Amino acid sequence: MIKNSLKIKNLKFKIVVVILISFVIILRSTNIAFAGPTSTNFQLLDYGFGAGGVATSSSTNYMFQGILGEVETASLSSTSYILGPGLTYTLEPNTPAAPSVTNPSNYYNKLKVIIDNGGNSTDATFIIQVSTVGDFSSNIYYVQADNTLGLNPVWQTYTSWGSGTGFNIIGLSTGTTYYARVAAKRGTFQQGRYSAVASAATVNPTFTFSIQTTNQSIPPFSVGIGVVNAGQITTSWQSVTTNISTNANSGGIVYLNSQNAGLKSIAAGNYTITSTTGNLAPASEGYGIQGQTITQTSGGPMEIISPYNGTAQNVGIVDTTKRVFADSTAAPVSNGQATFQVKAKASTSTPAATDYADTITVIGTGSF
Amino acid sequence: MNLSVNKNETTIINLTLIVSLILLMIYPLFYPQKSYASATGFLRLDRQSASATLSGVVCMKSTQTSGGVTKVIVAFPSTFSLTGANTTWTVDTTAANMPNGASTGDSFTATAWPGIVGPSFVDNTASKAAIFTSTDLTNATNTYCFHFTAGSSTVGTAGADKTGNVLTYNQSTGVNVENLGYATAITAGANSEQIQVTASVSATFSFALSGGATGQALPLGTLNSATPVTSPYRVTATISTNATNGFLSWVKSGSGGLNSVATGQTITYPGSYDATPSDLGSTTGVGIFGVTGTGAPTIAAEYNTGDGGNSVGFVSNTSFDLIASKTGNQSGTTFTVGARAKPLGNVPAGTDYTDTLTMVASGSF
Repeated sequence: MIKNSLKIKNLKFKIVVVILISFVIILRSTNIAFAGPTSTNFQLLDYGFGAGGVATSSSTNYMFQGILGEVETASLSSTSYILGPGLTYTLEPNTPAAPSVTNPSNYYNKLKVIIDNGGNSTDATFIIQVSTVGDFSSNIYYVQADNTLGLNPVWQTYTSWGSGTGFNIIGLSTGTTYYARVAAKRGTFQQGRYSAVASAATVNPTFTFSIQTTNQSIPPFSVGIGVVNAGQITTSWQSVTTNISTNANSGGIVYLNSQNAGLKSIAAGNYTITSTTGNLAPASEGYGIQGQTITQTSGGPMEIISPYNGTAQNVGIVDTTKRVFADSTAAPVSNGQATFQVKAKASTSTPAATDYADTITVIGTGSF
Repeated sequence: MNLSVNKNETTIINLTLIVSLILLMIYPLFYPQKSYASATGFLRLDRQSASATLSGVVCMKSTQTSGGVTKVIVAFPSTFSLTGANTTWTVDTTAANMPNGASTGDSFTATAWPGIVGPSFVDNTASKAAIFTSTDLTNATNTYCFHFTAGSSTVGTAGADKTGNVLTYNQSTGVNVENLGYATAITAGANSEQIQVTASVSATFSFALSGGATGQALPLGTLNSATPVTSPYRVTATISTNATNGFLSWVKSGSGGLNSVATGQTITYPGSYDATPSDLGSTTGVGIFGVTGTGAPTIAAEYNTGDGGNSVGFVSNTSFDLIASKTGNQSGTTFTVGARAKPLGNVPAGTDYTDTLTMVASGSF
């Protein structure tokens, strides 16, 4: 009998443990808000005690607030506002107006948000609920302290949410409409109603890229250096212009690489005037790229990257490794152009030939 | 309250509780979080013109350091053509293919993408995606990169704003860890992102004679019919050229031998230009010989007798005959020419026996 009683106690203990663990796991997994107890026909909507008074009991981390009075659910309301009766509503913070949600600069993974404090006191805190569904029936997220979206509500003061300047929600998907609404909480009292909804859409990432030469707007593109005399530096009279436009946050980048790592002559037994970085003036022989001009319609600005930003007879190496020739200084850019010329120098021992050639590949990339 | 439970019921309840616990533990896997962070990075193609073979570099700076990444899914623009089996694709983290802040001008130095393998699956239909195997990206300050080739796949048709995304994924939880949206552009026309650079290097050639007596003379002095006399000097020919095939030098006689105006006689060149020098020890006449110098040019067999001995080569007065040559670039290449003579015993005495040799050279371009 005692043994059987112990088994029963052990079983009861197991049941309690499982129920508690289940409770915790489900809570952690679903973030389901508790509703009142229900029966087939009725549901307890409010735990308040009516307008008869307020009593609290608290510890360091928690507070229980009891309100004595009559539950009143009737209220005047419109689409955006509700007039709540009773002390419960009196204790609630003011409902903020709809936040300002905008995409001011073709953002593809962020949106600008400015919340309204609804005239609440400075100790009021706010959550910003975001969804990709206009009625918030699914895909519900909350803006986190680091301005990303997460599943758990994060309460911050109006100041922490950027006050009237606002902030950018980051980490958003491209080409997606996001809906946002705000709720306030004052002190230890309960969350107020959500504001009206505002929305904005991220755009898709964009990138355009083209090249042309001084006298060629369509491919195939070629640049002739002409006759290179021993001991003399010859510059191509044509220049190559690269053009990028992108809304990439970290801007556009133009890379160069070469097929031969130099000017190669098959007729001269595959002799190659090797490309190098440096000043061709004191060098006996060499070949390289020198950036010329930069311009953009907006954004950027464009910049020519070392070693292609040299002057006089300084050139940058172009070989089989992709190297950055120019970029838009880690910012979106529109019609960002950068041009370059080719320089070569032969020595007296450079084999004479008319077929020295190289193929330069120009690659454009957006850093999103 | 009296509760009695038999052993079988206890076992059933225990089993039920255990199963319940297991189900609860794996519950999150069936209902994974759908929110994910947005990484930064890029897809840099190796070639960017229409129909070019697809390959490139994927770079991602992760904001998550414990997402448990097991897969990276690269979704290409819809106009790309992914063909062939996934086994024709390759991945690598070779340094030469990676951005390097110290040498390639990039703003960062790539960290090799950990555990990158694959792809295990390539979809050329709706998603245009390749699924690579990966391990977790554990450092938010690193930009992880890998290079891939895609078999016979191509970048497809030309156009701008071609969008795709790179998604890191935790297969065990079904969670999308990071998402990188990107756009690229494909230029119109074959090889339309390439520039052909052409140049010519002009020909150079220099040739000079020096040495010998004044005026590049080769004085033989007084000749006798018993012993060949060799000029005490040799004339040096110096050649520099960038001719791919090097240089050639020829020689021609002005009078077909040592001619004396005073006697009207000529000491002739013996033999012919037949790659076989004549030995003045056993015959008579006049001739020249060549000695190789700087750069070791080749002396024609007719004149390649060396500095000593009695042999000489024939010099025609009607045609230029090759005396020396060498292929390739020449920079200060030299050879020297000397003269040797032994007249017949009945040659009239005279002090004006003379010939003028003309030496020319040319680059073979």
